[in-house]
Amino acid sequence: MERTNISTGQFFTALFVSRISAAISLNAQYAGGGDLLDSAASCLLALAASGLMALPLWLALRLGGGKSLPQLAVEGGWLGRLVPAYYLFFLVFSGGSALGMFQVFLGDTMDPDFSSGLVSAALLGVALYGALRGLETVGRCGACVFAALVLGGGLVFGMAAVRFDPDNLEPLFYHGLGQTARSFPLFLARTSIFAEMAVLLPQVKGRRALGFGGWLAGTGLFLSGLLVLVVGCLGRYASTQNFPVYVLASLSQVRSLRRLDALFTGLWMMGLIIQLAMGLYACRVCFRTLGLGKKEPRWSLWLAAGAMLGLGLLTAGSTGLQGLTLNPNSLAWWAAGAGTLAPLLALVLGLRGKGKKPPQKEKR
Amino acid sequence: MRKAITLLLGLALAASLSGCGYPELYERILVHGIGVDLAPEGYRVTVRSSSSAEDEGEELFTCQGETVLEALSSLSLSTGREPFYSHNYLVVFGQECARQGLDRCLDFFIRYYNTRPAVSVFLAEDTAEAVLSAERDGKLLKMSQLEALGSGGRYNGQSAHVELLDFVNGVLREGGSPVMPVLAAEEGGARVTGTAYFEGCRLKSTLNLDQSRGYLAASDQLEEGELVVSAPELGVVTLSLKEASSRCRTSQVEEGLGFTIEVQAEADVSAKSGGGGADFYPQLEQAAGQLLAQQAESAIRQAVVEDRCDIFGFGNQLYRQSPGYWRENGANWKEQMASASYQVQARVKVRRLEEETLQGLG
Repeated sequence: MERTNISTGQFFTALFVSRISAAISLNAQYAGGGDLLDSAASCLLALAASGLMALPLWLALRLGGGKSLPQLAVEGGWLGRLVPAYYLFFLVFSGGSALGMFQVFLGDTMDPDFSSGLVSAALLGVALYGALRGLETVGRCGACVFAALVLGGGLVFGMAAVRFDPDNLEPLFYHGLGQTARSFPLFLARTSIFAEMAVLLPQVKGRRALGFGGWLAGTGLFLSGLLVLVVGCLGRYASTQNFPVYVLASLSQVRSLRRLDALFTGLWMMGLIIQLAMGLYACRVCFRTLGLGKKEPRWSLWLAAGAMLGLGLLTAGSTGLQGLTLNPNSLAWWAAGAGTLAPLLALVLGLRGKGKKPPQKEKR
Repeated sequence: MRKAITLLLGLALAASLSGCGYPELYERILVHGIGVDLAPEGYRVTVRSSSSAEDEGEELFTCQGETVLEALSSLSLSTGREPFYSHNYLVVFGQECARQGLDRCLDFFIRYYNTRPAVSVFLAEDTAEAVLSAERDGKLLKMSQLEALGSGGRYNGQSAHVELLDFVNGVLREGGSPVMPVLAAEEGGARVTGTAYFEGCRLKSTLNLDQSRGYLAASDQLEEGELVVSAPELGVVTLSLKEASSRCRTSQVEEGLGFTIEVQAEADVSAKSGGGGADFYPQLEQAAGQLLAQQAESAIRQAVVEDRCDIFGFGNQLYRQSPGYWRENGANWKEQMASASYQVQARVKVRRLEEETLQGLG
């Protein structure tokens, strides 16, 4: 596989698309209560916290020059293999979790008998093809999906917004800060951006910090705006639904043109494909760093895809497992590991490695 | 090798995703309207459906079950077809069912994957079955026509348009009470006869059409409608109301809570008989404003003061604007709303030419 570079805009646009596609699973249960406006506040807080959490990651990347965090860590000694191994695990876990959530959504809103497993397999197949083609393909596709998302999402939510009723907006923090605190992990979790940045940022050219800042601001504005729209249009009805964002989309209508929720589901599928493809490609880089294969091995993609699919199917089929794979609290811990702990370890090992030998240029 | 694997996967997906296991259109009952009545053991459900979009409203079924879904599922016993709910336009609840409380049967419409929150909801003056089996010119009334009776409030200003989403929010909002338009079956179809209001999910009472206009005007839902003003000096004047709006101000004084509702509307003189004179327009505007205010006050007196059902959202407004007050007093809202003072100020501006001809036939 030829290693290609993509621009900062492409990279963070693809990550934006994959992050907000996970937003449709926002609901009162995961947000920790029915005061969804309080969750909009915690969304902004969580994204600010994400910026701080990523500081070790940026420091480690700066130290590594053109190296990815797994590379930097591995060069620091045998303990460093933990870093690519953790990222590999985290990426598979995030992908499987996202697939599992999508299957739960299909069963809940479409038809319980719907062959959601096969749809997931098809989505993963497309993502796998993208990952096989390389990062540039995924980045270009992400930009297209972003355009579709802006137009399609704008249409669906714009039409639903005519139902916005200010009487539905409830006072902030009326029941204290409990919900804000409970929602915090939700917005910290459900993203694999830390792992993807750690593994793929060396292949990204341009003003990367600016891109990350844009991603944080864009995601924060989109998610909090979406929550305000959900509350304003659905009111307390939102807390009776498992997928209120989907319900909002299903309300969109212009005269006889009704139920544009299918368009919304399509957008989610496209975002999911980008998320999975990006994750799979990053898995492949991790495999190479671990020394499993001379170059970035193709079989590793199939293996990672199989693991994601398996985890997704198991998640959809087992409510017990959902407590682990879909629970925002557990996911937030894994994300904190990817955003802070693994980069810190890479940083320490990188500093140690730097003391041992002079810096080398990365072989491409 | 790669091509072979791709082909194999493609074939496998094509075979699995073709949807062959799903019913054909003719094997489905495309439900367009559901009526729910209380039965001795559970619910009697009336279904209006079509087998395809062209012959909408051609079929009428009744079924019975312990729950609404069980009753609906039993349709397949008599038809051999599967009910499909995502094309449903409306739900009508029977009077007795509403008196017992809708919470037991409402959950299906909120929870079930194939139902939508934007369906219109109605209360039948008698039974839902009577409304859904209403005929016009020997044919069952089309469901889209029945659905339009709710949204027709934007033209007549006397019927509330309520969707399932609004009803649920009415139940769940702080201190709130939901409403539903009342439908009566009659020869030649069905018509709206008033607005029912609920205490929680249980039917409390009904506002007549004039009170319904008052309710719509005071809750900023009035768009258009005809207002008939009659007085010796004015004769009988029919005003077409336009661009109505209202706002509510809350005041907390030593004597208790006070709500001032200001209604504003523009109107055209659409018909007139008798009356006239130099002060015709000022008198007309004053009389129309008084009438609109009386209708709103009558609705407030009956629903809020006497029956303690806050259909106007006064409690929600208080909760939003003064959360501290609501935290302390929200639990006693029923007593508070009954003892609060309500003042309605309605101002109707009649649009006219500077030198308009008032002379008519009468």
